[in-house]
This record gives sequence, C-alpha cells and structure tokens, in this order.
Amino acid sequence: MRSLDERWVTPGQPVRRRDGDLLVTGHALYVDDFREPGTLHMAVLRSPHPHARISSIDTTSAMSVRGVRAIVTGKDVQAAIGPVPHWFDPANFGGNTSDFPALPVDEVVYAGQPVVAAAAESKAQAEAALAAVRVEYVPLPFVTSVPEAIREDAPLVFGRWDRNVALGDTISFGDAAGALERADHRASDTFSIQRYQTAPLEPRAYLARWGRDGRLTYHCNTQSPHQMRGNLAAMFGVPEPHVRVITPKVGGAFGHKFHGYPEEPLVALMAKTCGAPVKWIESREEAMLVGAREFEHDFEVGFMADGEITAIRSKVWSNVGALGAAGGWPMTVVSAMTIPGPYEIPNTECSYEVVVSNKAPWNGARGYGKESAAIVLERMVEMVAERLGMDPVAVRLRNFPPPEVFPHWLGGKRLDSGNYAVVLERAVEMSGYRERRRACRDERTDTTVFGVGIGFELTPEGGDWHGGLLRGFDTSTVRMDPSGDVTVLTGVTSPGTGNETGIAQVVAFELGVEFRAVTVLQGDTDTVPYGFGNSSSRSLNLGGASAALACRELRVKLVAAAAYTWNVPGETIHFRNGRVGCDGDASLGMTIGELAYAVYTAPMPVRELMPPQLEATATYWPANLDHDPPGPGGITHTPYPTFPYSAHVAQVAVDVETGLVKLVGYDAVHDCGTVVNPMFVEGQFHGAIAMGLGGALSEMNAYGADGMLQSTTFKTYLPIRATDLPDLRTDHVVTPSPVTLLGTKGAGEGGVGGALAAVMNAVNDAVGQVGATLRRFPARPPAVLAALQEARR
Amino acid sequence: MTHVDPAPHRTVSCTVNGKDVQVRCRDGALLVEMIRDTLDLTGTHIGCLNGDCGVCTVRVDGQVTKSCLYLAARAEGAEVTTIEGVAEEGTLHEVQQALWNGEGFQCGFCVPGQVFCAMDLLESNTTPSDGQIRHAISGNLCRCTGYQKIVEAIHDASTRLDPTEKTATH
Amino acid sequence: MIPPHVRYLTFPDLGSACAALAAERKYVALGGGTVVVPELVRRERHADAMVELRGLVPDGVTVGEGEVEFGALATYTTVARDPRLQEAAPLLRQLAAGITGGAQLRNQATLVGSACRAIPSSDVPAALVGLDATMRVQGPSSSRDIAATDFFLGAFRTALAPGEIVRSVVVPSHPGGYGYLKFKFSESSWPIVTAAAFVRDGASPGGPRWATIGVGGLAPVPARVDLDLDGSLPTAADLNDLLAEQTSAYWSDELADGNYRRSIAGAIARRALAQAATRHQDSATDRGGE
Repeated sequence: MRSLDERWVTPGQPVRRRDGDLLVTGHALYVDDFREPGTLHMAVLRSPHPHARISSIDTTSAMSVRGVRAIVTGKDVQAAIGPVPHWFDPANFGGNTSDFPALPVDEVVYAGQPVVAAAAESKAQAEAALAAVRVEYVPLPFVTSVPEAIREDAPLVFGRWDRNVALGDTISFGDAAGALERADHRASDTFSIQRYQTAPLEPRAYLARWGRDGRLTYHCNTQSPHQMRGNLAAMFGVPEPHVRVITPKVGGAFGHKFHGYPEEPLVALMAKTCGAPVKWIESREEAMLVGAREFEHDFEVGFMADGEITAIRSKVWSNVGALGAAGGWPMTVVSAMTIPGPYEIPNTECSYEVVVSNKAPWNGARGYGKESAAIVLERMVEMVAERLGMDPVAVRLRNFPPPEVFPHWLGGKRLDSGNYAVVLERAVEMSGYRERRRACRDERTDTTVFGVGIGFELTPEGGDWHGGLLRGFDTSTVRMDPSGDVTVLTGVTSPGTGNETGIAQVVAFELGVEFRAVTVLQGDTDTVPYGFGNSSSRSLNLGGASAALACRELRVKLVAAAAYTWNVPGETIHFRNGRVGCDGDASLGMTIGELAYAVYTAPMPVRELMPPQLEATATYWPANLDHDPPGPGGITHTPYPTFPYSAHVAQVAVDVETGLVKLVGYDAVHDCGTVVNPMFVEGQFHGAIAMGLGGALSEMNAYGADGMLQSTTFKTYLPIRATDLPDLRTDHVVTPSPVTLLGTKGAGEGGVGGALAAVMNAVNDAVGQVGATLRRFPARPPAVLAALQEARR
Repeated sequence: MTHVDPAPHRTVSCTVNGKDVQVRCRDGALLVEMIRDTLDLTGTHIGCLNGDCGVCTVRVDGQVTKSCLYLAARAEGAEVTTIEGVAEEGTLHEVQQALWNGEGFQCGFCVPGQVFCAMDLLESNTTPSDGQIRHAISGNLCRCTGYQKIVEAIHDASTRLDPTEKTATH
Repeated sequence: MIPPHVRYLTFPDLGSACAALAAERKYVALGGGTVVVPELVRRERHADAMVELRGLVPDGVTVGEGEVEFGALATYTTVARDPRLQEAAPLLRQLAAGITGGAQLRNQATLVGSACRAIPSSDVPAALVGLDATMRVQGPSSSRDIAATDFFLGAFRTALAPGEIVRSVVVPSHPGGYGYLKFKFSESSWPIVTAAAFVRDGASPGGPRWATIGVGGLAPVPARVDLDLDGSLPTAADLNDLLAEQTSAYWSDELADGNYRRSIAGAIARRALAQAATRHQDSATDRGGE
C-alpha cells in the first residue's frame, strides 16, 4: 500500500488527488449531472451549407410539436442580446474582425453553424421541433483551403473584408535576409499540419436559470468562469455580479472549453424566454466541428559548415475557418512568435497569416501553436544535420544557449532558465538514440523500414496578453477559521488536472497545517476572487504562488500572536505538523487551531493583529512580463514569463507496402522547473505527449470537397488508443525558474510539440532510407504511401 | 408535420447495483439514459453515444457493456452494475484504489470504462502483460493520461489481486 | 437518443417476427444491436420499430461434422472464447478476438449482424466469402440457404428479401492452413483492407494445393481469388492483378479512397496467404506428410 503520509505533505511529494475517491466511484458531479426539476433541453439546428444566404425561416409548425417551449432565430437573438464577445479580437492586433451574434440573421458562413434553437421538455422533443423548422438557403460560393481562400478572386467569407485574411504580420529579429545570403548553406522545405482538435471526453455543457431576483445562475464547464460571467453580463445587459458562473468537475478541456461559442448565450436566452432552467449538452458530432490547428509552413534555414544556424525565414498560414469569437486563431501568432525556440539563432523573420475559410471556427488546443513551431524548427535542424552529415544531436547542442547565460533574451523572449543540453542528452541516453539510429539501418527488411527521431520543444507558458482578458496574473484568498482550518479561494480552475491538490500541498506546507485541514474552492464566481481560470499551464505558477503569498501574510499574524502569547521573539516561532512551537523552549507549544482561536477571541494588543482577521488575498504576477509598448501592429513582445522545455525520442517502424507507421518506442525528458507534485506533472507530460502522437499519427477533422465535415465520429477522427502507444518512458530534470515564486514553469502543454516533431523526424529517418520525405501530418498510411511512391517515381 | 405521437413506453424490471428496480422508460431508451435520467446514477457518463469512447461502460449480467449501445428494454430481468456499485460498502475495489493511487485518471470522465474493463481482465488473468492490458482497455478512450498511468495502475492492481503474489509478500 | 416514436417489439416466434418485418418497411431487426442502435441515435437510419430477435434465433455455436454453425446471436466473445473453434474455425476465432471496440463490443456484437449490415470495410463479409460460408435464412413462410458469395450484393446491400433474417451461418471446417489479416490505420479505425486466406490440399480446382482468399474493404462487395499453388506463392503484384480482374469498382470512404485500397490490397492478401501457407505446411508436417 501507499507509504506516503497524507496527513503532512510538502510540495514535491506525489500526493494523490483529493477528489479521487469521488471520481473513481462515480460520485463526482459534472455539469450534465446537475438535475433541476423542470429543466428544459435545448437543441440547435445547424447549417447544411458551408456558405449560404438564409432566405427564410419558418418555425410555425415546429411550435406545435409536443413539449416545445421556445424557438429562437437570428432575429430573436438580434432583438434580445448583443454579439458574443471575442475571446481575443483580431482588431486588438489591427486585424479584420466581425461580430458574431449567437445566431445569424441572413447568412451562414460554415456548415454546422447554429441557425435556429429550440427548447423543449426533452431533447428529443427539441430535436423533433427543429426537424419541423423550414429554412430556405441560397447557397453561395465557398472556400475551404488556404490556397483557395487567398486567391485574388476567392469568394469572401466576410463580405466586408478585402480578402480572406484576418491578420498578418512579420516578426523579425536581426537581419534574416542578409544572414541567409552570407550563410555557407541554405535549405528550405514545407510542412502541413492537419485540422485536428483536443476532443475532451466530456463535451461542452451549459445549464442556465434566471432567479426571481434577476440573477442568472450558469453551470458550465468553461475554462474561464469569470470571463464567461463577463460575457453573459455584457450580452444580456445586466451587472456582472448578477451572473453567477459555476464550474463543477470538468471532464477535460485542453482549449476546447475556452469561451466564445454561440451556444453559451443561447442557453441563457432560452432560460429567460421560457422562465425555466435550460440545459444544452454538446453532442460528439457537434464537438467535432470545433477546429484547432491547420497550418501550412514554408521555411528556409541558413547555416554554416560547422552546424551553426545563422538565420531562419519562415511563413505560416493558418486556416482558422470562419473565425468566430472563441479562442483559436491566435495560435497562428504564437506559432510565429515561438521561433527560434530553444536555438540561439540571431536572425529570424517569421511571417504569419490568419486565413479564414468556410470551415467551422477554431478554439484553442493544448500546444497553442507552439507545437507547430517545434515541427518547423526540428525539421530544419534535421535538414542541417543531413546536409552537413552531422549527428543531429550535435547540431542541436551546437545551437543551444549554454546554461550560464540564463535569463537570456532570445527571439523576443526572455528565457528564464534551463539546461537544454542536459535534457537532450538524458533523452538520447535513455532511448539509446545513437545505437538505435545505426540499428535501424541494419534491421531494414523488404517490407519495413525503421526510424528514430528527436523532437526538442520549447514551450512558452503563463501567457499574458494585452487587449483581452487573458492575463498572466491570478489571485487567491486564504482564510483560516478559528478552528485553524483553512479555506483557499482561487481564480485558477481545474479542467481535471488536479491542481487543487497541488495548491493544497503548497498551502498546507506554508502554514504547517494538516493536509486535510485545507479546502480549495475554485470555479464559482460568487465566491472566488476575480481570476482567469485555466490556460497556458498557469495553475501552480499563479494559483499556487498567489495562495503561498496569502499564506505568508497570514503567517505574519500567526507568528505575532504566538510571540505575544509566549512573550518570546517572533523569530523563534515555528509551525510544523499542525503545531506551533518555539525554538529553544520545548515546553512551549500549542496547536495551530488553538492559536487561531486565540487570535479571534483573545485581546492581543499587537500591531500585526489589527484587525485580528486571519484572511489574506494576494495576487501573483510573475517577474519577466516586460511588455514593450504596443507597436504599430499592437503586439506585445514578451507575453510569456516561463519556458519549460522537453526532449523526445520516437522510434517507428514504417510498412513500405502500406505506409503504416507503428510507434515502437518513446522516451522523453522534461524540465518544467520546480515540481510541486511529481505524479501529476508526469501525468500531464504523458497526456501532452499522447495528444501530440495522436496528431502525428491519426487524428484529423477531415472536410470533403463539399465543405462538409467528414470526421463526425471517433471512428473517422481516429483518436489515439492504448494499443496504438508503446510504453512512454519519461524523466525529469529540474532547473527552478528564477521568475516565479515557487520556481515552477508550468506543466500541461509541454510535450505536444516535442511528440509531433519526434514522430516527424522518426518517420523521415525511416522513409529517408528509401529516398522519401513526409511533408504533412497526420502520418496516416495514405499520406506516407504517397510519399514513398513519389520517391519511387 | 405538427403531430408527434405519444412515445411508446414500457416498464423494465431489473437489478441495479443489487437493488431491484422497476423503471418506466421509452421503448427506445438507451440503457445509459435509463441509468442516468431515471435512476439518477450519474457516474455513468456519455461521451459519444456511438459506442466509441467507453465512458458509459457498465456490467450487464456480468458482461462489460457500452450502455449507449444497449437498449434499456433489453435489461429486463438483468443484473446491472454501474460504477457506483463497484465499491462494496465503501471499500474501493483494488482497481479503483490503484487508479487513484497511481494517477490512473485525471479528469475522471473515462473512469467507468477503465475500471470495468480492468476488472474484467483481471478476473480471467491475474498476471497480464502490458499488451494484454492495453488490449483490454482498447475500447475506452482517455484524453488525459496517454494511458500510461492507467496501464501501470492495472499492473499494480494485478499484483495486489494475484494470490501467488499475496502469499509471497504478506 | 433514439427518436421517441420508435417502438421495441417482441414476438413469440421467429415466423411472426419475420412476418412483421415483411409487412412493415420501417421495422428493423435487432440482433446484437451495436450497429442498429447507434444508427438510430444518429438518425442515419429511420425506423418505426425494432424487432427483437433475442430468444428467436440461436446464440450459440454448434460444431458438427465438417462444419460449424454460428447462431445469429452468437457474439464475438462467444466465438473468440470457444476452445473447440481453435480446431474447427480458427480463422473466425481469430477474427472475433480482434474486433475493434473492446470487450464491450465483442460481448454484444455478432458475426451474423456484421454480415447482414454488409459494411464494405467490416471484417466479416470477406472472411465468410473466403471460407465458403452459407447463410441460413428464414423468411415469414419459408427458409433457404444463400452462399456467402451470393449474399453480398453491394455496399450495405444483401440478398435478403424483406422479412428475411439470417438465422445462422454455416462454415465448412476442412483441414488446411488459414491466414487472416486486418489492415487498419489505428485502433480507432475501421478496417481498411482485410484478407482471409485458406490453403488446402486436394484436386479442386486443380493442382496439389490450392488457396482461396477473401478480400474485404477493396470493393463494395468482398473480392475473392481462387488459385492453384504450385511452387512459390504469388507476389503482391500478382495478387493485385488477380484482384483487379475481380473488381470493377473500388470502395472509398472518409478514411481511404479506392486508389489507396487498390494499391495495398495485393500486399495484404499476400501476407494472409503466406500465413495460411505456413500453417498448412506446419500442419502437414504435424501429420507426418511432406
């Protein structure tokens, strides 16, 4: 059984999650598990056309379907509420934008776009009502791909725009053109990444009800309860505190549950119209509409004969679908900003274009564009190694900044700390990379080629963006009751990662109290401080740190109280295992509960105890968020304070007759700074790796030439399963971050990009033996076989 | 089309987590709908309603079953066990314990499928290989763990359930 | 959810169930249910009622002299766990154990149900064609046998008349070597191309050894190749040519187009055939022959 003492815990221990017993017995409550008498159910009628004018909507016969309580069209929405506020508006960067009302009035811009909503006593009745709605459309020309969308004569997704580009810019450091000119060698290539998503198993879910007091109570599984609250308040024109957003257990989020979806206000509007609670649960088919990623990369690298990389010129086009108000498209900007990643490359010129099309809009996805930068960088490094006949490890080592230069400005980012070489070498050693690379050539058969590839990933974390409610700070309140028990109220939320357990570890240690005496509350805007929820691996960096700061304020009071009570100097007071003691006098001692009770009840004329309330609120804002003033494009240049990184080695076998790629080995090493809970961090790393591997090998939201989504179920989306994966062998190296209170850098996202890059390089190591190159993901067999066949021609 | 027929209903008698129940439900009600909506046992989740993800897994007459593929009407006379019925008198099953101790889940949404399929495996094979464990949970998606800690936890549970192991270590 | 108007009907005997299915175009037979139920949920199939077959058709496996009969409701688990089938129907046993979707699917889904849905990329149709299976069919008033080779008419289309259901499928269990290969993109994927190969001794169709290969996923209906094996095995390219002769249209779906299927089918067939030939060789050695 477990040997860990769960009464007294410290940061750094593999404490198991506190809600585990509820989760594993089925007693944890997700949004769909909340049952309110009289709840109505909403269903949404969606556009069957990628682009069309709505000429008429007839809901008369639908209203007489049994059980139906309300039917809402774009006109009703327009009369009642404002458009869905942007998660982050491209206009903040000087780009094109549009309003996104929850339902359109006269035009649909993607297949699957909500057009009519119905609320009824059951979901089936709501669906039956929608089946009776008659909508007439006049189909319009549409575009689905980047090349189609950026043609001069392309049909416009948004008629008021001049072209199908929301935003484009170039981020430059040094003189890439000159350095490319002066380089000993140049190499260029392209790489495409498919549209795929994160597919959390719990789909989106909203449950709204308006009270007689005019307040809206809104259960949902958003990643950002306060911003959801603000959006609903703005759309309905009520004071922000009149909306209470509650986020119970969340069944995975990964960016899919950033806010900005049309169904968010629709549920609340239905609840208002019907005077009853209304619930909407996203179906899997609806969830599959949400895009995340679809990048085309074009890149050129300049390098010297010794392997020094001197310049990068790259361009990324994203196909973000019909833009929408949710949080996906900025991934394009992040992709360009992340270059040159971990490499000391002084001259970079990275352009991006956010291209819109008549596919469904994106939302965010774990990796958030950093993974696509990793793909480009790691492909370039391998091209350099191949051209020079150098060891790919040596090329990387040649271009890493050495550990002693940190904190280190590189490509517009101030990298906090790290030892990239150690992490890479550990991964190389664990995997036997060099031996495997040789063995792969020997093991080749008529039908199988083997390959091994490295992926090194720098993962900028803790995003802080000006111009939107995506900030890099957060707030916690810590309250000690007269019993000595502690409540933590924090603005960060858990999408299922268990960060409440990590925060409780920090707090229990800071105050010296029993682990179970600490209760962490999250995700209720009526009780927790204003905060920014879950994104960018921020939970412990900000939630943990702000709670620790608040604890330290409380500690000052507790020390003063103990020192006064015993008439000893404050420096001699210590807190350990639930007790207060005095260094040098073992006869003095009491429980923390006794001390807390004394603070609240006994008269203590001590300055620090005026007033004698054991409650503190602190906001943590990491160092290292040095924003340049917004430039002409409005871009803040250092939105990331911390930089975890990881090295990955993938081993594959490629069936040359079919193109099937089988992953046969996987090793990875991660540095995310100080680790509060190693078991959770390892779990996060595994999960991120698997998401990258799924994207590399199989996962895809495919569209047909008709502009319709083809991957409507998991049977065609192809999520990765246990049997698709080998044992994931992982290890950690710790270089504490000097810019965060706890030394953490953030865990959660790191691993997606490294996994994608490692598979790309492993597949190319394999198919390169027969002269082929894979230039697109996913590495599904038809794509790989096409690459092999091209080489044979 | 303005007329919808009243839905045909029936009463299903079965045993759920050891209790006899009589449930009135639509003819076409899925077992997962009966479990969640009528019996209010919300530990059985819905992730795809297409038999792909496994989060709605229960046992029907001992057999692991995706309850979104199974009609409630067919449960007449059956013994159904949901995730709420696995821990006996509050004591977690070894598989549940191992998954919790070993971070074999994060968000917890896929837990029913992983627990039932692991139990199913370990009932016939107390010393499974990695490959056998992965095969056993191949009908259950997990988007959080990369399956790694699930596989490790099932190994852990197997060593605790294996009688030869028990005599060796205790 | 299944549309609320859909009824669930049980009948006292198979004849009346078949009569109901014959009379009502929008009644659908419910076997294992793993195909029909989600199709109804997803509105890909429209029905007024589901007709329960449980209790009306056999759910077991009967091993007879030279043949094995699989009841319409015999699940993949039943097939995969039946030790007698290691001898009598090893190919189908292997196929059943490898059905995608986990133990939950195999506990509920059936060989016969898969055959009746006739999904071009399912495992079962091509295996039954390759194995010379016979479908035992019951109608409202009569019964008949349909050879598997005549059963599959097109994608999602079989030779069953309205009101007819498959009671069981009979597979000959002649001695020989078998090979089964299912090629798919990943665990989540439908099969893309499958090949069920059988190598046996005998004079028919000629030569000392001959082989049949049923290839699924290539075309809307299973392709079948019969060939004499004298000397070395045919290459993937040879088999591609033979398959091309059998195939007028290739199957395409969201996962793979006809061109891709066509370019790998020979290789998959070759691998299944090689397995079968090796097993045949081994069993001949065991019997003391050759």
